Amino acid sequence: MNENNLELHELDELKAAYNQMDERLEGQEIVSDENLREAMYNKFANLRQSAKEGLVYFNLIFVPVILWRDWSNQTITLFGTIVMTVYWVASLLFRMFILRKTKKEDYGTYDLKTLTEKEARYQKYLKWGNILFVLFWAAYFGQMLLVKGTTAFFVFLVLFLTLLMPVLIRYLIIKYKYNGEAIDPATGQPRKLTSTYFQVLGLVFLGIISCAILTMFVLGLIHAEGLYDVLNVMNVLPVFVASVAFLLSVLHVKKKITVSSKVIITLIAIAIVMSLAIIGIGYFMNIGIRTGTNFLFSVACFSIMAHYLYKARK
Amino acid sequence: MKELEQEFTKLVREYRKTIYTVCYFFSNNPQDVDDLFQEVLVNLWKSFPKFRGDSSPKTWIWRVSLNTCCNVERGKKRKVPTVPLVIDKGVMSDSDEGGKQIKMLYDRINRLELFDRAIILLWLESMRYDEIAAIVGLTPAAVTSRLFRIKEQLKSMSNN
Repeated sequence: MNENNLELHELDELKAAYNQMDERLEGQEIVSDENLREAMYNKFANLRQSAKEGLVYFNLIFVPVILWRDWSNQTITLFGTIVMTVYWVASLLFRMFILRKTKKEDYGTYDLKTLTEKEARYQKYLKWGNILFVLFWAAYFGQMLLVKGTTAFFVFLVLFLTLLMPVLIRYLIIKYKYNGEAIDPATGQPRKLTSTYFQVLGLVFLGIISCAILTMFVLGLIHAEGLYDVLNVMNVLPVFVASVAFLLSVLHVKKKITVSSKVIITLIAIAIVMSLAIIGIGYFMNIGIRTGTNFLFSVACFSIMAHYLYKARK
Repeated sequence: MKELEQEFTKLVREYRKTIYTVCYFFSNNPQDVDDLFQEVLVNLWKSFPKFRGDSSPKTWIWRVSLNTCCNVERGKKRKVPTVPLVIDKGVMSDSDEGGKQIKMLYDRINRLELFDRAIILLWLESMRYDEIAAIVGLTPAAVTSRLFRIKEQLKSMSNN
C-alpha cells in the first residue's frame, strides 16, 4: 500500500492545487529548441563581462592606486616592485587574452557539447588565474610586511595560513567523503560544502581577530603619550566600525540576519567621517598622523565591500 | 544537431513541466522562474553526458532541478541574463478558482525551508518514500519523520 494513501484530509487541497497546476502546464511549450543554446551563450556573455570589469576596475584602477600608495609610504621593496610588475603585466595579458578569445568565438555555430567544453576550459583558465592571483598578492603583502619587521611578517604568515585552512578542510572532505569527486554529478557544479567546520573555524578566526584588535586598542590608549599617540590609536576605531559594517553585510547577504540599509550606510558614514576627522585634526594641529592614510584606505576598502555585499542580497 | 543533443532536447521537453514546477516553487518572483529554469537547463546539460541510466530519467531530472534550485537560492546573486520561457504568463494568474488554489499552494510552500520544499514537492508528485529518500539523500525513515513535521507545519498554516 502506498504510504501517500494514508495522508490526512487537510492536505488534500494542496494535492488538488498541485494537480491543477500540472493540468495548466500541459498545453505550454515552456522550453524552445533555442533556449538551451541561448542559455549557454549568456554564460559566455557573463564571462566576458566579468573579464572586462576585472580589466578596467582592478588592473587599471586598483593596482596603480595601491602601488602609488605603497611607493609614497616607502613600504615597497625591489622584490615587491618586481612581483607587482610581473603580476600586473601577466594579469593584463591574461584578461586581454580571455576577452580576445571570447570575442572571436562564434557561439551561434557550435553544438551544445562544444559550447560546454569551451565554457569548462574558460572556467579552468579563470580558476588558475585566481590561484595565481592569491599567490602574487600573498608575496606582495609578505614583502611589504617584511619591511615593517619580522613580527608583522610573522603575524601575516599566521593569518595567511589560517585563511588556507578552509581550503585544506575542503580538500580533505572531498577526498574522504566524496572519494575525490570535486564536481557534484547531480548538478555538474563544484560541490558546495555546508560543513559546520567552516562555521566554527570562521567564528574562532573572527573571535581571535576581534580580541587582538580590542587588546591593541586598550593597550595603545593606556600607553599613549600625548595627542599624537592618542590620535594614532584612535585611527583603529573607524576601521573597526567599517569592519563591523562589512561583517553585518556578510551576515545579511547570507540571510542569517536582516539589516536595514540605513544601519550599513550610517556605519560607513561614521567610519569615513571619523577617519577623515582624525587626519584633519592631525593636519591642522601640525602633527602628522603616521598611518592616517593607510587606515583611511582600509576604511574605504571595507566600506566598498560592505556596500557591494549588502546590495548583493536577493 | 548531434544525437546527444537530440536525446537531451527530447528528455527536457518530456519533463519540462517538472522543471518548471520546481523552479516555480523555489522562486521569489516571476522573473526568478526564468532565471532558475535557465540555471537548471545548463546544469542538466552539463551532467547529461554522465547520466548513464543508474536512476530513472525522472529521478535524475528531479534531483538536478532540486539541487540547482537549492544551491542557487543559497548562493550568490546571478548576473547571467535570462532567456524568456515560451509560456503564457497568465497561466498562473489567480483570477479564477484554480489559480487561487495554486497561489495558496505557492504561498504555503514558499514559507518552508528549502530542503522541506524539496521533500513536499516530491510528496505532491506522489513519489514513494524510498524514491524521495534516494533523491534528497535521506533514509526512508528520516523522510517519513520529516514529512510528518512538514505536514504539521502546512496544517498549522491552513488553520491560521
